[in-house]
Amino acid sequence: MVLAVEEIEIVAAGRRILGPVSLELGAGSLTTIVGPNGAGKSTLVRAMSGELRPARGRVRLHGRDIAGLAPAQLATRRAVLPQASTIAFPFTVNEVVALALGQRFDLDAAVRQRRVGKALAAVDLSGFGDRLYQRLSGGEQQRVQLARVLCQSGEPVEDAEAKLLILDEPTSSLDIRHQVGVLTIARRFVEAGGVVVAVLHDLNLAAAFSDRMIVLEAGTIAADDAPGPLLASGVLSKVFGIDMTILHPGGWSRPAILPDFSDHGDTPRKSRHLPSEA
Amino acid sequence: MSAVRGSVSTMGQKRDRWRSRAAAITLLAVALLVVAILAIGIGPMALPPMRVLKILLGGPDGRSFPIGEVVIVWQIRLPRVVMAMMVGAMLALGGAVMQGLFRNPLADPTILGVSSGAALGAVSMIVLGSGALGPVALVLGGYALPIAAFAGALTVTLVLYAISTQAGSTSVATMLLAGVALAAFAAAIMGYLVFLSDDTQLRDITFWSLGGLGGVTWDKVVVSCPVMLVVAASAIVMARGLDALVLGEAEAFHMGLRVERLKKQAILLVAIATGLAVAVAGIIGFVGIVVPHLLRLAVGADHRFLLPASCLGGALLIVSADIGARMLVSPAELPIGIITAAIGAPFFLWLLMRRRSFVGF
Repeated sequence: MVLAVEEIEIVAAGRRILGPVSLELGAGSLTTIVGPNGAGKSTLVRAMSGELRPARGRVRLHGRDIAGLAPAQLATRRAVLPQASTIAFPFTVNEVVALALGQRFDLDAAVRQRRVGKALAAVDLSGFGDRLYQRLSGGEQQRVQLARVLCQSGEPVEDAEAKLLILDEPTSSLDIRHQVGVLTIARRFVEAGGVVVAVLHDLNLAAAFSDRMIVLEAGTIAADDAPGPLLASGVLSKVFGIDMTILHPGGWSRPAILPDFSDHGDTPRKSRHLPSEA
Repeated sequence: MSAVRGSVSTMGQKRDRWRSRAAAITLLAVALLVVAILAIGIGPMALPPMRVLKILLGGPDGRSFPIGEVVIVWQIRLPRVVMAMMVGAMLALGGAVMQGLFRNPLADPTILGVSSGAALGAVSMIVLGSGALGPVALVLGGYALPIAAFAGALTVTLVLYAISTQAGSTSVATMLLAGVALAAFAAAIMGYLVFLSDDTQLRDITFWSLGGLGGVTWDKVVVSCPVMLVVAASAIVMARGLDALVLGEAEAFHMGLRVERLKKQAILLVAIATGLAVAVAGIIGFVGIVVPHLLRLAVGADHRFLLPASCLGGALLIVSADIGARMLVSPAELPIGIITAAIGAPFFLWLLMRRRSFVGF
């Protein structure tokens, strides 16, 4: 197992906001985490990254408790794409991507530069190195951040250890072509032996690109399965409180999800509540 | 194919960027040297720059020039200029590090009350050094004043950070308003101390609240400069950490930074730099915001460049402002804080207007 989450519970302000949750992520797998707002998706990935310390349980990366790893040790094994990053200073795209290696005092300048260039090429921003990050569109900024994360990660597998990528809503500010682009990059990373876990809001993207979907509801795992069986089980309709039809378009290898938008909640539905925004 | 071409051009431009940075540092250093020699030449007894240079090269005991000129250059004006450089470097460095720590270009030790805290510490020591703080003054001796200033600056920085940064993100509005409140609070206590003070102390306090470099001697330079050099050197060690922090605390941690340690170092450094500068020269405002900002516009925000360049730029600004302070109302002397505020306050307003569009406040 690359990452093992063992019975973790996260407590904030005396209240349990997540857990107990257990799961394992193996090499070469792309797992998506879906669920309503406030279900604890971001909390779960923040615990996986080592940013949040669980009150109970532990998270192991390659068998080692991440609470006992120094930030620099963790950084060579897992990288994290945050939801949104604003920068108040005029950094160039190259500089932002190179920040990923700022704590890697073992790499020389040529290696750094090669990794930065490669990462920018991967997100289709090769010519953007000297542009100011602040002047880019939201979508371009998000792709620069993805490049930074790829640059930090390096090869998906190094020294027989699979790298972990944690993506927290990586597609939130992207148009549909770039959403697919980002998840294609994630897929490629997985096919080369790496591990990706992503929080996604778009259920169709999740179903299309992941090997496994985890549905969170109120801080615990409501379902954990491959997209096909998970969609067939009807758990999504239940958790989101929206009727969903599962389609199997001809020629598609994956099912698609069609939420029922036809009644806007004005006709009372049988014992189903819209989840309140947290 | 496009990827290959991209990375080649990136490398070329990157080299250009480093070259322009090296050029900027060299330019600043040369300008600083020139202005310093001019500053030594200016005064009631004016000396042409070449003569200043020759006297300097002749050493403090040089015999080829009238003893009066040698004394003026070596014993009166040179220590003042050296101190002006060091104070300017500390102020600009304090600003740059504070902006990195708060991840915001509007953070500045004077605007946010850190200098007021330092001045309060210094003034407390002046007024109460013979009374309530007597034992402290006795134990610390000549270091009592700078240490009190440091303690004041540290207290304000810590309180400010605790109030405006929660769960790793800084609220700009809270930061600015908390700074206003802290500065006002320090001013209130200082007002009370003014009430308690006698005439001599009152003159000292006036000096501290507007800043000035009068009366700098080699003794003062020898006491404070080594510490300032250590501060400047340790700031440059923090550069990569401050770069990482630019993305946010969580992101910096993800990239392998020991965030808590860096934050502590940065807070300590801001407090020492500001405390020292205020202890030596009183409150000199806006250097910490003007200098780093202009340098970022000119050659970028990378702290490995920004921090040393800020030291040079701050030194250049203060030596120049001190020339103004000595010339504008000569033979009297204007408090230097008036000059930097006259330049800095409009600059700060311009910065606010310009940034409102894309920072969102």
